[in-house]
Amino acid sequence: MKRTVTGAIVLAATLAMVAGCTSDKSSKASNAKDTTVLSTDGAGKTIKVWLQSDAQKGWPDVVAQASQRFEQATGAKVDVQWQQWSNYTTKLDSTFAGSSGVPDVVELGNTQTASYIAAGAFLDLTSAKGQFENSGSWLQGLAESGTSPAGKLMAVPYYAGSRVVIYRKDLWTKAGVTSPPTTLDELFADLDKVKAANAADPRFSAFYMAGKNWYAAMSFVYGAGGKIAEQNNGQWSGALESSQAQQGLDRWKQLATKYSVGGATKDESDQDAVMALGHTGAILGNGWELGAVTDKKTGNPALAAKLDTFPMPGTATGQYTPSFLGGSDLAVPAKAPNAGLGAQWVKYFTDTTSQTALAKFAIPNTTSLLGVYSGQAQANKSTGEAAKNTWFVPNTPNWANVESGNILQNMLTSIATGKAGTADAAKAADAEIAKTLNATG
Amino acid sequence: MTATVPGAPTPALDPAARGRRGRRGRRVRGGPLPYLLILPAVLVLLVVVAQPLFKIVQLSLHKQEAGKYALFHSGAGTPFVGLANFRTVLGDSTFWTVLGRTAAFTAINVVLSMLIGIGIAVLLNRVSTWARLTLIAVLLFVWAIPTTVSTQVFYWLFNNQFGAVNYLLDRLPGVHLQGHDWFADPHQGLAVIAAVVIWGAVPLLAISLHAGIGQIPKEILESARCDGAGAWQAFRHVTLPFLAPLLVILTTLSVIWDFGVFNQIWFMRTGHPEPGYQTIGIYMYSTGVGSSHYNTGATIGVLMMLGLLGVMISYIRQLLRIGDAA
Repeated sequence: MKRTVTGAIVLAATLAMVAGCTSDKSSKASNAKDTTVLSTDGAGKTIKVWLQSDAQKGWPDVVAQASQRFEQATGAKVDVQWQQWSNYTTKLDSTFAGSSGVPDVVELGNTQTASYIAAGAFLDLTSAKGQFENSGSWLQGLAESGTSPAGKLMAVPYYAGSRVVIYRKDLWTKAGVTSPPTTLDELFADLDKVKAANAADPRFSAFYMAGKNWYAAMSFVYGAGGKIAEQNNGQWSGALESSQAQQGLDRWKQLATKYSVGGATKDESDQDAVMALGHTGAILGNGWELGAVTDKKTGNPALAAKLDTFPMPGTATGQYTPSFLGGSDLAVPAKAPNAGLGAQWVKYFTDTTSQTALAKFAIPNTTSLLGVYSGQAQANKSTGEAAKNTWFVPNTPNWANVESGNILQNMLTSIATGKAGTADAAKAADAEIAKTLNATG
Repeated sequence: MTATVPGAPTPALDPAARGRRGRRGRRVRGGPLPYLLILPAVLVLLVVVAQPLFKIVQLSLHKQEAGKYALFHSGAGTPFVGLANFRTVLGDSTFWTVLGRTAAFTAINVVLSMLIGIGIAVLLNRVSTWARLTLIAVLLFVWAIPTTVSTQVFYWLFNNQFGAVNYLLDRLPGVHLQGHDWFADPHQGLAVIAAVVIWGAVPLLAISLHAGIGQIPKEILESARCDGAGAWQAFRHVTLPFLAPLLVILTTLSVIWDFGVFNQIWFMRTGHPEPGYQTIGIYMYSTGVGSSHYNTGATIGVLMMLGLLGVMISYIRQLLRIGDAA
């Protein structure tokens, strides 16, 4: 059993390489069809769409209506296959290296697109840009992540998200905090009160912060004026050991150690479930995580009336701590068997109708619909505010390897567990970041 | 080991004499039938073992130059670099740290699982029938549980806030483990993982050794006891020598299994094993596949295979020896 697992991995890697050698033809063939990228000739065909399970949990109806309209227009069927973010790039790598089983549409995180665009993994959609609705008003950050350095459109913006503080209004009020904090110092003072009011519960987190939550930690780094890495004369160097960055890391450490219990060696993926257990005063999450916390199956519906949101305050009143501009793009793989139909599905899924429906749950891909989004709920108002001040990862093809190598997560968890001081951990991470970003092979 | 044990008192079956008579020999060697019969297996092995093995060695001798582009298109830009990948891997201190950790982890798992396995095997031979059947049924259940499931169960048991282990240990006087995070320190974390590995390995070892003990002629044990041997002496001087060949095989297999442990570590660390949790299998995967450095990954894989080759040779020799004896 144990032996076969290792064997299977070795085998998969090997087969991936073998297949990579034989599949040149198909990508050239699909590149040649650039002039007529979108296709409606779908009778008897089935397209395969890889979407992340965020949509399955958050907005399955939006997916269904787009597929329905697509099926009516083309006669093709849609097979949506739900994916998980964890180790997703590994799956994409082995799929794109092969020649069969390639999906017709893939969803990608906006931090992952650069490496695949550089690797020529996607179909060039530039000539069809005008056919995608709202392409003139796409959210800038998302549009940039889907565009190649040469300005070609390789991936279409899907949705964005920004993170806000989701908190238990009832617990905060009971602790004597009646209005959301407007500065970070106020936030920490409020958390002291909430913590003191619940001192009898050893499992209580005034603010639950997972020890590997790099999206949150880097927000504080950027908020303190630091950054993850910088490029000089073509060479990248890590910037986490700068004094500003360390100041931000120390702020985060305070949240992760002083106010948070039990999450030092975990990532943020189960923070909604943790909050649903009732021993948590606040988390930093995407707007739609409200729904996950109060979900009937995976969460606790009784909390629905007790949750509220506010944008993470900054160092001074009126400022916000920059939020990570997370988001997703949709791309058509260069080797997709039904590339034209895949692009057509993307068109339906990102048009005004779909995005208006999506705006209930996430930030839509176009500025023209931001009003629809903010008008939906208090949480959306907060995330809409938070989306005004955002940060993004260093834009280089090698960034994906920093993520898959868990460099930031390892640094943070060693800070949160006290295994290393902030300065030492940041220095070690900087060295690894530089090595990874400057790698050539 | 000591070939005096089972087939020894049958000198009539001298292989030379047997060969001269040629009764068995002719039937085995004559005609193409045996080769035809073995052909499907050979073909399958060529496809699923030899070909990947060849590719992985080939990968370890090449260098992928243009990142993912080369991987997704034709594979151009991967020149032959000789042993350069091996020099890089062997020159990296991380590799040696990981190797040392893997060796220690393997040794602890093998020793503990063998000791517990022998203990349960001896126990099985001493208890009443219903107790033995219950125990064997339980062991088979454990054996049937996939590692992914058992790992998840142990992960919950050792959860720092709501886990049963912390709750129970905290009840002991003088122990304060409420909220203790077992995975903050990799040594403790690996100890938890070792518990899952050993837990999963014991059933096969115990049941095999139980069967082995059942093969020992009762008269010999009885006569040992008549000669005044105590329980320990009987075990040491009768049971162990009889079990020796089986013990060698099971130990060798355990070394091979535990050296390549992957699932338990991977799932216990929810797909992000920290540096302190990297054993050779995890290291190979995260370097090779996780970070798209397939040549380096293949190089580590080749080194891993070479390391295990020594163990496998002793395993195969033992198998042949048993074959001779039977």
